[in-house]
Order: sequence, then C-alpha cells, then structure tokens
Amino acid sequence: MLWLSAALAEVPQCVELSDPYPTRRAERVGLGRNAAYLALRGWQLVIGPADGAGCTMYPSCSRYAMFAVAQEGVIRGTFMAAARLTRHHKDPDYSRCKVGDRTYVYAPVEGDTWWD
Amino acid sequence: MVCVAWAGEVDGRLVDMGLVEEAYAGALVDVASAPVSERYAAELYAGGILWEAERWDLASMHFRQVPEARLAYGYSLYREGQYGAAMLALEGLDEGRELSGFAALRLEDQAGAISHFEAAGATEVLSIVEAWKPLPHRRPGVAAALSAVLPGAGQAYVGRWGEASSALLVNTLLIGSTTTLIRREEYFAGVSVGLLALSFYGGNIMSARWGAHRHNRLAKEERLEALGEYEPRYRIEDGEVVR
Repeated sequence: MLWLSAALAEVPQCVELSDPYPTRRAERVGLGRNAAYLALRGWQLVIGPADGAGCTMYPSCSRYAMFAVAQEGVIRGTFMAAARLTRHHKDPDYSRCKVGDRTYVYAPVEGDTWWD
Repeated sequence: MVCVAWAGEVDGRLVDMGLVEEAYAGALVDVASAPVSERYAAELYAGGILWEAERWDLASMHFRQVPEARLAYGYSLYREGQYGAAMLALEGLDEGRELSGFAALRLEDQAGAISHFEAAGATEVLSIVEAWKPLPHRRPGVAAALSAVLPGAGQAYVGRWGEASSALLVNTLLIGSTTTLIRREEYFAGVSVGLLALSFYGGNIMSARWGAHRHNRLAKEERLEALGEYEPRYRIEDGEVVR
C-alpha cells in the first residue's frame, strides 16, 4: 500500500540543485572528469535543446551524469549514468516532484546507494 | 532560577512565532548560564526546541551528558535513525522498552523486539509482530551476479521487470553490435560501441545491486508503516518528557 499512499500524496516542488561542476578552479581535478563534463555540457547545449525536454526524471539524465562523474569519478559515474538511462520511470516506488506544473520522477545521485 | 524561567518563557514565545533559531540561541545562553542543579531543565528545554524543528542530531547532543534525560536521548537517536545507539541509550530503562522494541524492528531483529514488547506489556504490537513472517529479502550480491551472467536477470530477481527488460534489450543490442563490428574488422567503430556496451553492462550490474537494496528497504518500510500508530511519540512539556 506504500505506492498508493505515495501516489495520493501531494507532489512537492523539486529541490533546486547546485551546479554539479566545482566553481573553484582548484577543485576541478582530473582530465577524465573535465572531459566528461565538457562532453555532457556539449550535449546539453547542442543536442538537448534540439531533442526537446523529454526527460521524465529530475535531475535530467545529463545533469545526473555530471553529478555522478563529479562525485564518484569517471568510471563509476559512467556506470551510474548508464544505469539511470535504463531505469524505468513508471516504477511506483520512486518519489515524485514538480517543476512548475510538470511532474518528474525524483532520482538524485544521493538516493543511489550503490556501495552499501 | 527566575531568570532561567523568564528566559524560557521568551524562547517559548519565539518558538510560537516560528523563530526556532532565535529561540534555540536563547536556550543555549540559558544552558551556559544555568547552575548544575538546573542543568537538566535547561538542556531539556534546548533539546525540546530542536525537537520542534526536527533537528534530532543536535537535540541528542543536549541530552547525551545528562543522565536524567536518557529517554529524551534515546528518542532523539531513534528519530535520527541511529537505532543501535538508541537501544544502547535506553538499555535498562523501563519507559524506553517499547521504543527499544521499535528500534530492534528497524534493525530487523524481530526476536529482540518481541522480548522488548513483552517486557513493556505492549500486547497489541506484540501480537502483530509475532504474526510476521520473514521478510522477502533479496540479496544484493546475488542480484549483481545474476545481472553479470544475463543482463536484466538481477532486476527480474528483485521484481523490477521494466528495468529488467530495458537492461536486457540495451545490452543485447550493444554487445551484438560490438561483436558484429569486430567480426567485420571495423575496429574503430567496434571499440567505440564496445565502450558504450561496457558502460551499460556495468550500469546493469549496479542497477541490480541497488534494486535489491531498494526492494529490501521498501519491504521493511511497508511493514513498519502498518505499526505507525503504535510507535511512541514523545514531546517535552513543562520540563518533562511526555508521550
């Protein structure tokens, strides 16, 4: 019955997330991380707008990948991003949040306890 | 004493106005200036303000040093999610037996919980918990191993059929494409698609492992949700911890 109470509950607004890329130059370490960041940023700037806002998850998969790579490194981050892409957004046990009127599946990097 | 009581009244009004941080700052001054004989009341009051704001972690720090506040300390730890520490704090305390039982349940120690509920005389909860069957536990290692052998199998093992079919489809396509390209001696394209395939293969193993954790956590939460109405809730009123 957990899914039913979750479905009936009022959907909160999504928490605004900080920039996944460190703002301080000294924290921007690792060639792989920087390359991954540039590739993902390129995707967001070029392909994302052309493709349209189709992602049903919050943060979007490209932003999730940026957080994952920044926090866990390139290899784990890439695996996490790939797993996120095959995740099924209709599974009822995910929590939901809203940006404006649109409802998203809330799945931040912090919720993914891969290493327990 | 008059001074502390007056300061407490001011803090209480601040809490009523929603100014919890200001009230807590005032309560901290009270704690620092209170004589030893009034320390329990001052610490309890400061912790009570933090309970209002659901800052259980900070509240437990106030109660930790005061032997009389063991129930408040244990309850703060319990609400903070430190169930083992809560059980230790409440050990031997009659009023805390039922809470210890709930902490044991959260740690999946059904037998321990039953003994606590028996000692507390909580017959209704006891009858529910005694009737529980073992949780349908899924082992994260098994889920990961299954997905390593056949992509999607681990997700199916934990009942996530949508993810299982996605993982199977994506991995089959990518691994198939990689082998086809390598056989055709198109090495650059083969290695590129192979790296992509490797990412999804690794992600599929992680996803299965994570799915098992999520399955176990949800099963436990769903079961505990049914006991929500029996779970002890405490508040601090007139310098006393009351249920």
